[in-house]
Formats: sequence, structure tokens, C-alpha cells
Amino acid sequence: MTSVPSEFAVGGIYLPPLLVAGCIGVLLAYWTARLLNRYRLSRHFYYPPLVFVALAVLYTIAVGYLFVPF
Amino acid sequence: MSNTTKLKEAIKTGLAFALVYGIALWAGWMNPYWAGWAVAVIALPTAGASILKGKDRVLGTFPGCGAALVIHALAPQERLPFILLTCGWMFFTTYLMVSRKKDSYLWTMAGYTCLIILLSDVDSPGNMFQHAVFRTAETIMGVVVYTLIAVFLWPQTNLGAIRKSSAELAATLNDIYCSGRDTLLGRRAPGSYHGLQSKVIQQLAQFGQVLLAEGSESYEVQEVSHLWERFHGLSTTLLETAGRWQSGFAEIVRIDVQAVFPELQTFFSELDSRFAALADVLAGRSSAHLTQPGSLEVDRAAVERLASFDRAAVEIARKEMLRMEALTAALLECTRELEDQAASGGKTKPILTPGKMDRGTWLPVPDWEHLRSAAFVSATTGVGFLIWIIFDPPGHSGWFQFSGTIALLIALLPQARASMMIIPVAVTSAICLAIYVFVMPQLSSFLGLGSLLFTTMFLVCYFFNGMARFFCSMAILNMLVIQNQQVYIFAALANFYIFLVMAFAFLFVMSYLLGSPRPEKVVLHLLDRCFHSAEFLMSRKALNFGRISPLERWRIAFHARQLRSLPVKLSAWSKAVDRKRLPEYASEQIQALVVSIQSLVYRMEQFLETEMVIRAQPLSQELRDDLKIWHTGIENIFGRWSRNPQAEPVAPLRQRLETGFIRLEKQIEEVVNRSGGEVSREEGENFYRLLGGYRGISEAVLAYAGVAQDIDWSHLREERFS
Repeated sequence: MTSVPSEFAVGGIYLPPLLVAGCIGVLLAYWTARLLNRYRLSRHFYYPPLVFVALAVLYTIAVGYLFVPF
Repeated sequence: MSNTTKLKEAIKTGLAFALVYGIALWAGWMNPYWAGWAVAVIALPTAGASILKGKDRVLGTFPGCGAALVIHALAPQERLPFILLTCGWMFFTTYLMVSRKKDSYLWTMAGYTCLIILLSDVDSPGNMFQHAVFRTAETIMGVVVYTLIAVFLWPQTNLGAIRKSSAELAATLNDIYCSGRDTLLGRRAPGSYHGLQSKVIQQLAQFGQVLLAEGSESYEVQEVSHLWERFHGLSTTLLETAGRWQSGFAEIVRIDVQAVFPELQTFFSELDSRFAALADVLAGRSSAHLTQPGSLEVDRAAVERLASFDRAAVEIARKEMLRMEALTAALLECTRELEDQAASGGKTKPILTPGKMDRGTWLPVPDWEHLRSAAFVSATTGVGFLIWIIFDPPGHSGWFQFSGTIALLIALLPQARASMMIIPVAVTSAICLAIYVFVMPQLSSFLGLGSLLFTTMFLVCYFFNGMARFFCSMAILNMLVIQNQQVYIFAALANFYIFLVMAFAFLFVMSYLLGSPRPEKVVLHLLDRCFHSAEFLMSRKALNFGRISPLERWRIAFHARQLRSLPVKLSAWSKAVDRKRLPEYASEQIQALVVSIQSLVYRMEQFLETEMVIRAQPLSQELRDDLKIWHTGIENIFGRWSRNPQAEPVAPLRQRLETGFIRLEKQIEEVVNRSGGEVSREEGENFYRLLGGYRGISEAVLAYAGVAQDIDWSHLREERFS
């Protein structure tokens, strides 16, 4: 994968890479939150909504670093 | 609703929807979707309900447009005053929207229209007046078109609904009374009240809606609407009085009530006849029953044989039964007036309230939840505005306008989670996006466009209802951007789609601004507040409490209002708790907790309305210190529970209470003996009422503790992702 940022073309519409990475990051954070809820691990967090935001940011950066440079 | 009725309603809505677009496009009016919105929103199952909603929509549009023009005139170039004024208007309208059930929709429109007009044309705000005029004209046109279709095409009338609803309400009130009567006479075990109470609350809400809807399409109903409103008020008060009466049964069922009240059978026979007459009159049959004043004198000899606490229970029960007697007489009289159509000159008679818990204050007494809702909408609008002007993400002015509008909706339905709306909005918007890209460019005449509009709205109305229908309609109106000069810009729509998803995520974040929106957290928070208010009211009702300042009066009125309204809120939120996420039986335990809180509130009301009788009379004077200890004990318990609703074990509490009862019983006996039985009847009644108040609260506290000790509080408090 090239490290040069490039738009995603969907049917002639160009989507910014940050948007794509952000969407993937939010989806991954959502699934992580569901798993944490399922195994009652979320009780160890002081404020889960903030943890969700942090997870989404971390995943977005990770996706950007590994798959979708932005 | 049957499938045929659903089909007819869907056809009517689809037809009106296509027609208003046709008229707006033909006349060359700007933003034809404003008329479409009016149709989509006021399309309700009956003509009366639609007319009422249409009327509120039109009436709410005027103040909304006016406020927008004033805000723009005052702050045309300054961002800060502009947003402060807008947030102030949103706060004001939201507060009225949530607190005034009767014209809630009018205030929703007043807030919503202001946002729409303020940013209707960001590039040239000089056209704002023109936008306001078109918005008003198109809303009126949409309402008129749908009303005409609803009235002339397969009309669904509300006529007769009010009679049916009132008869059902009276029947359930009769059931509540019969359950109390039978329990008191030992014919059945106590317990059916709370199930019937929920039924009556629903019926009262339904009655209120039917009254407004039928009143909007019938002059006959409108003429006697003050009588129907009195009927509604009396039924509500009767329900509360029956609840207070039955909450004291635990103490009174041990007593031989027929010996204490020799006329009890006659009293109940009179009430039976009144309920029977009420049913007859509401069913349109004549009733020969003549209301006899019911008396409930006690047999002094039988009462003197009772222990002091039993006498107290008798006093409390007697007072509530006499109040029920007065209420049933008033209800029957009101129904007869309705039947005779003898409008009493528009004068509304006072409704007998179950008790005056608060002390009069001329200052307005707000509701905490309503203030929170108003603050949420106001803050969401303000933060949305800041996001727009600082970051300008896709959606642009929509961050201010759309977020504020959806926040209004969330404030109206606080139990509906913002997170639950994201998926329906995303899916329906995607379908409409596909229609916009693949179908709409193929259309070349209004015949095609009208058919498309008819079909989409028909499908939405036939297959969906409630919130799903609202969001599908919203997707159609926002994604199928229909204008006189039709252009297709996919990028704008794609951006709007992204904006919709981001805006709902933003609302989800904002919903945490004023505390967690998770139902179990809200229940815990409401419980804290309930006990805090109870503690405050108990402290102000202390025996040595003297003169009170106006501020203190206001605080008392505020906490009294909180206490009175909290059981209903608790009940609504407890039903929203996700059962799957809680241990087995937890939701039943929470329901039982709500019932015990309702009972506690009734007991608090009974206690707070008793007059403090600390005079130079033997009973109250000599037992002052004991009552003070008891008072402080209850106050401390409420204080502890307001910090942590997890109650202490019930057994030691009961033991402490029983010990206190025995000690006080002995002291009362000693005082009465010392005074040679010379305790005046008035003092005796007042004192025993006071004693009954303390006893009632103590029993309710024990009932709460009994339920609370079974609940897994740590699980309820546990943090989790929403």
C-alpha cells in the first residue's frame, strides 16, 4: 500500500481518505464496545462514552497508518 | 387499524402529498417541500386529530417566523448575540413544548420554524421576510389540502370517541373503587390497585387527546368542553384519592371497620349507586339515582377500644373516603350536566384536589426535567452553530438547523434514544438517495413526479407508523430535493447523507451533556432526587418550624412538585430499561420499586397536608419530643437514601419502628389517663391524623426498604457502552 494519501472514487464521486478511515474506525470501535459490553468488561471504565470516542480515534489512526493513509 | 382503513389513509396521504407539490410547483413557490412536510406531519388516523395538529402547526408557524425576523433584526451581523438570542428562544419554546401538553405541538413549531427561517437563505438573508411568508403560506396550503381530503374522502370521524373514552374511564375508576371496597370489607386481598392505576393513567391521556381531537371537529363538544375538562380533572383527582386511600390498607385491614364505621355499608351502597348511575348517564341511559350526602361517622365506643395507631389509621382512611364521596358526587353532577347539555355559562367549578402539599407562592415553579430538556435543545443548537462556523463540515448550516430540530424531537420523547434513530435514518436515506440518482432524472413531467411522490408516501404510510414513519417521511422530503428549476447534484446529496449520519452521532454525544441518558442511570438519578425532595419537605415540616420566607415557600413548592411528578417519570423510565442487560427479575423488581415510591409519595402527601397541632393541649404538647425523634429519624433515612437509594436491611428498621410504636402507645395512654380522658374531639382527630401521617410514611419506608434490599444495585450502577 502506498503511503501517499489518495481519494476513493465511488461511481465518479471522490471521497476523502480521512472520511473512509474515520468510518472504518467508528465501525471497529462500535464492535469493540459491543464485545466489551457482552463480557461485562465495560464496567471497568469510568466513562464509557469517552472511551468510545478514544477507541474511534485510535482505530482511525491505526487504519490510516496501516491501510488508508490520509 | 384494519388493513382497509390503513389503505385508505395511505391513499389520502399520498394524494395530498402529490397534490401540494403540484400546487407549489405550479404557483412557482419556493421550497415546495414545506407544504409536503405539513401533509406528512398532520396525516393522522382521524379528521379531528389532523385538524387539531394542522391548526397547531399553522398557529406555531407565526411566532416562529416572528421570532426569526426579530432575532435577525437585532443581531444581523454579530454571531454571539445571534446565537444567544436563538438559544434563548429555543429554551423558551422547548420548555413550553414539554410542559404544556395541550398545545405542545404549537410550541414545537414555534421553535422549529424559527430555526428554518433564520437560515433559509444564508447567502442573502435579505430575503428572510419572503421566506417567512412562503413558509407560512405553504404550511397553510398543506394543512388546508390535507384537511379537505381528510374531510371529503373516506372521512374518519372522532365523533362519539369522547363518550366511549369517558365510559371506559368511569368503568376503570369503578373497578378501582370496588377493589378498595372489597379489600376493606375483607372480600379480597389487596394488590390489584397498581395494575388498574396504570390503565387509568393511559385512559386519562387518551381521553385528553380525544377531547381535543373531537372538540376540533364538533361544535357540540366544543361548547361543553369546560365540562369535559372538569370531568377529566375530577377523574384524575379521584384516581389520586383512591390511591391514597388504598395505600393505607395495610394498617386498616386489621381493624373491624364495620364496627368502627356503623354506616359503612350504607356509605358504600351510595357510592355503588353513583358509579352505576355514572355508567348509565355516560351510556345515554336515564338514571333515577338521587345523590344522597354520604356520612361516615365513627362509633366512639368502638374507636376508644382501638390502640392509638389504629385510631390514627381510622382517621386517615375516613378522611380519604369522605373525599372520595365528594368527588363521586361532583363527577356524577358533572356528567348529568353534560348529558343535559346544560352549559353552566362557561364557568368552571373548582376541582377538589386531594390535598394541598405545597405552600402558595406567586413565583413560577419549574419542573427540573423540563428545564433539562430545554437546556439540552438550547445547548445542541448553540454547539451545532459553533461547529458550523468554526469547522464548516458537510451539512454546513444544517448543523445548526437540523441538530436543533432533532434535539426538539428528543426532548419531546426523552425515552427514545438518539442512537436508536441512526440506523433507520441511514437506511431510508440510502433508499431515497438511490431514487434521486436512478429514478428522478428519468422523469420529464409532473405526472411522473406526482406518481413517484404518491407511491413513496403511500408505501411509507401503509407500512410504517410512529417514529419510523416520521423518519421515512423526513428522508423522502430531504433527499428528494424537488425544486422548480430541478438540478441533480449527486455530491450535495452524498454530503447530506454523510451529514445526517454525523449529525445523529453529534446528537448522541450531546445527549450525554446533562447526565447519562441510559434509562437505568436516569432511574437512579430520579430516585436520588425523590429522596432529596422528601428529605427537604420533611425538614420544612418539622415541629418547630416557624415563619417562612417567600424564597422558602418557592423551594417548598418546587420540591412538592418534584415529589408529586417523580413516580410517573420513574414509571416511564423504568419501562425503558433494557431487560436483556439486567439480571433475571431485575425489571420486575424495578417495577415493584416504582410502586413502593408511588405509595411513599401518597403517604408524604397525606402527612404534609396535616396541620401541625403543637398547642398547649395535653396530647401534642407532651408527645412533642417523641414525635420530634420520629420526625428526625425519617428525615435521616431520606437523607441517606438521597445519597444512596440502596436501603439498609428491612428487619432492623422494622424492629426499630415497632419499638417506637410500643413506646409511643404507652405514653399516649399515660397522657390520656393523666388528663382524665379530657382530650377534645378536635384535638384527638388532629393528633391522630398527624400520628397516622407518621405511621403511614414509616410503613411506606419499610415497604421501599423491603423491595430495595432485593435489587442488585451494583449491577444497575455498572458502567457500559450505550
